[in-house]
Amino acid sequence: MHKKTFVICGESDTVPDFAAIGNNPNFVFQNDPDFETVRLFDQSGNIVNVNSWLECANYVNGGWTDNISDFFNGEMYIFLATLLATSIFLLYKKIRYSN
Amino acid sequence: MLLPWSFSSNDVSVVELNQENIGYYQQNPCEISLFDINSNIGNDMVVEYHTDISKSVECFGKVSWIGNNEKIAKVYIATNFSIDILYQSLFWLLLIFLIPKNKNENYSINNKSLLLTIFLVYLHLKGEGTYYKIFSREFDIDFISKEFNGDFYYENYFLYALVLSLGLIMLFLQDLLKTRYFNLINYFPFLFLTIGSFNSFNLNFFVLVFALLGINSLFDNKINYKLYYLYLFFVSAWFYNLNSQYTFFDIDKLKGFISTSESYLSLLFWSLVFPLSILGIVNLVKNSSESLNLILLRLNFLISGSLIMLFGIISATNNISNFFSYYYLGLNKFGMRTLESVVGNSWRGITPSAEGVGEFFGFVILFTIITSFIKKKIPSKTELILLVINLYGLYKSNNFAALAALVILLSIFLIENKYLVRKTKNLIYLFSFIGITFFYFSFINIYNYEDLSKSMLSKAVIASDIPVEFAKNEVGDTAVEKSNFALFLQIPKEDRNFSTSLNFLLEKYNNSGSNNVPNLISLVSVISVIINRSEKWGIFIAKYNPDFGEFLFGYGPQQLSYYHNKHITNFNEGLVLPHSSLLNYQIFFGIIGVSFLLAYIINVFNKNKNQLIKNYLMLYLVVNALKSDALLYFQNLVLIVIILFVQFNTEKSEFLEQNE
Repeated sequence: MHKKTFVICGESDTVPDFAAIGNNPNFVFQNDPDFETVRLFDQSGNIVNVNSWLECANYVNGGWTDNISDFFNGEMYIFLATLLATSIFLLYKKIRYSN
Repeated sequence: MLLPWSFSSNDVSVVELNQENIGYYQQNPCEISLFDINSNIGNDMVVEYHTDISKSVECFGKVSWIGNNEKIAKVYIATNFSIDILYQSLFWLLLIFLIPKNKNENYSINNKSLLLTIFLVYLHLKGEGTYYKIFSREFDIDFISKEFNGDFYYENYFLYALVLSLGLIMLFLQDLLKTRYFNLINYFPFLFLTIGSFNSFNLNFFVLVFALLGINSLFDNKINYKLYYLYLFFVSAWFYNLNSQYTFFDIDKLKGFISTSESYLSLLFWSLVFPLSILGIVNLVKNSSESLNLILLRLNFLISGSLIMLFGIISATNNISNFFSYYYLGLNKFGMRTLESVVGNSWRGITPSAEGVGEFFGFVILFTIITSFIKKKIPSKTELILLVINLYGLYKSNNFAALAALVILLSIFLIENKYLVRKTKNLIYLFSFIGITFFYFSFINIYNYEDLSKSMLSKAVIASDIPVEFAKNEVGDTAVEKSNFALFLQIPKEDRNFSTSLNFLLEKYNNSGSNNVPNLISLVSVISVIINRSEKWGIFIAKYNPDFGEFLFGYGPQQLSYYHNKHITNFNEGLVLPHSSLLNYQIFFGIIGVSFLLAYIINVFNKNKNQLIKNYLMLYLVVNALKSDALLYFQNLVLIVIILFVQFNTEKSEFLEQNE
């Protein structure tokens, strides 16, 4: 999530304390005039426009993203498929050499 | 091969692609497959396919965007880093599978070599990460990272999938090369057809293959410690010289074999991969001397050249073939989309450079004719047809220099192999040289010697971004157009904005006394005009701005960005190459490195005076490399290294005896 935050919201030196934000029902995000508004989506299709880096990081930490394809972790499936293929190949080699 | 490009989403219907419906495709990215859009193109639409490497896994093979400039619709087909490396590699592994197996022994690649090669690739990704992050939002090279709250994050499936894919590819390679290693030497001509550049990565599959073989050879053979320490000294110099300033260099058609980023890790990667891949090639040549089959090699050169032409024609006449040839052959850039020649009346087909492919066709023809003579084996009817196709390819490339080198070398070859006394042969050469020179300067060349001698430096001055305003004469020419070198030298160096090399050469040229007496700069300038290189080499001089250490040792293998971007000239946009492999290697290895290389090549020529095939082929390659960027492409490097190290078991005396 850390790296995804930088990809979506940009670089920042701020270290957000999400627990503190989450535990404070009165917490209000301050708009940052230097921050370019980012539109984020959640998996249900809800949309939010965030106006500060901290607000953006908080939503990203909650699973929101600016790119719908992020909800499908294609790389994980490739990893699993490759793991399966590698295992099959190693097993095949072992059988071939033991024969 | 075709399945990944065939699946469209069920949520969106396919409509005809025309000017009115382009917006529909732009609003529905990653929904419609390549094949579906290709079969629904309106009659009035001219379409070009391109790849979009920044997309996600589920978008692969689908339309991600369409750009429209009223005349041509550029359809961007999504690809993905994780899929590309696996999918393209599997295809190239399949091609290696088609190579016949070794007749007798097998070649063993140990597991450590596989792991080290994977580590090399990791080094590359780490070193050029800034470049990759521009294209991929998933790009992350940390196996484990920390969250903001201090927890560890270990779900970087992008990296895990990449490393595991590399592992699988290495395992397949280990298995294939074991039974085919000794036959690779006969099939290397196909490297000119299947370039092997990954679509998403700045890596070349075959560079990795040879680097793997190079690493493996380190375990088998003794290290040449003299060479090792010499190279280590160079590497130290490169690290010392590194400025780490330019983290994005637009590699364009050099994709796969040039550094994109000036970083310590990137320099380390290329400093390792370059010599390892050469070591892999050299050891392949040495280990395969018994399996080398000249007739089979001749046939494979002819087939490779013919297929390059065939794919070039198909690619130019069909959009989808153009896309697939780019993707599956691993081309450096998309093939030409027309059969018409372009600037300079040349046609490059699927290759990145018309000049480069012309050199290749010339080499194939030279190799075919020389081996036919030496082996006394006339090409078969099929080979003759393939030869004609290669001749046509040479014609279409419009590479006069390659043609001239071919004709001259073949003429020398034929004269040398006639049963004439030495004196007669020398007289033929002398009169030919005088005749050609007289003809050129009488009927073709329109410049006097002084103009020729300063042409290259004039072009260098024109290419420089001079911050000084010069007065214009009555026809609007300034000192720049009039090549008033003496005036430039009066301006303080810090105000001229000339490169160090231009300053040096101008001073040398101006101080050389009468400019009608040939000096080296004048001679090179005259030659540059004759071979149409004065502008390109002039631009090189304007851009090449080394300090003393960089001049001596260079910037490191495949490091072009500092040379290209550091010194401001009128040619910093786009990719402007030196058009000489000698100058490229001057950038990479400095004058000391280039001197070693030239000394080695001269030594090879001397030691192989009786090797009929070798010296002619070497001469052809070296002469062409001097005036082209050939060695920036891996397949040309493979060719020249193989020819340098291979021993053709034919000698002059053997041939003359057969002819008496």
